[in-house]
Amino acid sequence: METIVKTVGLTKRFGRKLAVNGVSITLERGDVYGFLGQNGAGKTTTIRMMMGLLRPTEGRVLLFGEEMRPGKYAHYNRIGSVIEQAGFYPNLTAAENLEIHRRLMGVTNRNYLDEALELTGMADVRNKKVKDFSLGMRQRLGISRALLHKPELIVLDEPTNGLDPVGIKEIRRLIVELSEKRKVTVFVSSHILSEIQQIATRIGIIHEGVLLEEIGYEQLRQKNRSYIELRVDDDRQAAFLLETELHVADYRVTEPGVIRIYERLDDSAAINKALSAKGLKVSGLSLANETLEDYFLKLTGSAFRIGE
Amino acid sequence: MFKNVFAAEMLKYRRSLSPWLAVLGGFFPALVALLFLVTADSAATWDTVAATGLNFFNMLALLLVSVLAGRAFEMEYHGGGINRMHVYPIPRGLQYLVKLLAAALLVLAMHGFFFLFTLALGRLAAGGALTAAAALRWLKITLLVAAGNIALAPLAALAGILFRSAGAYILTGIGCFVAYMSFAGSEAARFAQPCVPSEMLTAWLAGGQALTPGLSGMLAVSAAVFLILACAGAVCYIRAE
Repeated sequence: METIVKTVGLTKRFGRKLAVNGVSITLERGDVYGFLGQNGAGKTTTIRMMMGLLRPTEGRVLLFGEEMRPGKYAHYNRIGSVIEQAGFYPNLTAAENLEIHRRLMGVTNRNYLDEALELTGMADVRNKKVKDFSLGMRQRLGISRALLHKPELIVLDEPTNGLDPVGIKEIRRLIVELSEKRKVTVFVSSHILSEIQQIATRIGIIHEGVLLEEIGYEQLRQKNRSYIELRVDDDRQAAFLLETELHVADYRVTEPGVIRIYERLDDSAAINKALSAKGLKVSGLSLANETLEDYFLKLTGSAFRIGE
Repeated sequence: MFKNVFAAEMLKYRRSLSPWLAVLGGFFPALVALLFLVTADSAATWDTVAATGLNFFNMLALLLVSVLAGRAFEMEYHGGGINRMHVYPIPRGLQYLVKLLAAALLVLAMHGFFFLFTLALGRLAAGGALTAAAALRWLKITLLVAAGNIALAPLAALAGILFRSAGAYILTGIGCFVAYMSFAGSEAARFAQPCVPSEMLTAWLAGGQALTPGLSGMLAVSAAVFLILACAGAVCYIRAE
């Protein structure tokens, strides 16, 4: 596997505030890397350092195997990006804005511009001025621009901000298509778990400037576990009975009176019967899943937005 | 690469305010000079048309030069365009140079419009025909003033880069105007931008009086001011995050 992006101990300090602390990310060719973190977690600062827009206080960035240094520009030909504000010229039309990009990227084939507009469904509004665009249309135009020069790596910072559910679905489809059909490596940041979990092949979780975990999506899926949730009047006695009478070892008391049992999932009736027989009052019993949301909650100590 | 970067830069001005400012900045001083001369008691000559126009133009030009040059940079910071500019495979120094060149061309165009409008409107006020020699001398003075004003473009650009707001370059323009009004009559003014020595130019225009320190000396001052300010601006642009 070829490493496309590697950051080593990336750190950024703004005065006294440590915005990013020792972030080390590895992005292999073909990855769809989901960079997940709450607002203010350090996602954009990390991306800005990755793209050479911000000098790291410590650490280094390797793009396509070469260390990023001031005055090195050639690798920008291989990267498409949508970072923070789109930076369009509002007096110009969509096509004119992309024409500026085409010229600055040194793309000689004018058809690339039309292809990029069609790919994001913006061909119909190519002659409309950007000042008349909605936020969602600007986002889509930003993605068109990022794709115009057919980059090997696309960096998208919160690409679905301002999009309606249909637009969000469209962007997801586009990212998957880029990855699968064009073999483009994608780095996408978001604070919305559901966005990332549907498209990413690898996920990096950043919280308060620290990369808590970098994990393959398959590994993450394995962390999803089913369990029986029991609500009892006396969790201590219930735990004792589970161990001694029912020989259950894999369980957890999550809060007073609530027990999660991760084994013998087909024996809920027997468990209920055994506990009741010993005089315990079982007020609730259900089969449930530990979700990714629960996993992140455990990891970060606070909840992620789970839906649009 | 330069051709593409320059073409992209010029495209940014399409349907924008800056080209209109260049046209209007040339038109209004010519119009005001015409109104001033047709309402005056004495008959105007082509030399007085030129000198009056130039005086009115100098008052407005310093502000407009600042706006034209400042906008060239500030428009990138407004709306996040600078992040885009910095992720193109183009050296930042070249980006800065092209932006400054585009702004300088607009400033030069404004002087050209001023010359043409004054020529067109001056016919309504001036008695007698304009000789080719007088027109050429007048054009040379306009270009000399343009050189002095273009020398100030990097100052406004620097304000745009450092403060990233329209207010910064407008204040720069106002500062230049105040400096001009304060020092334009003094002997030292001919060496100090933005104090375009209009009185001296007017005397030269009217009577063919010799220019001191001479055309090349004044151009050298303008070039030196331009280079120093442009280098400072380039460093700030290249290092900006």
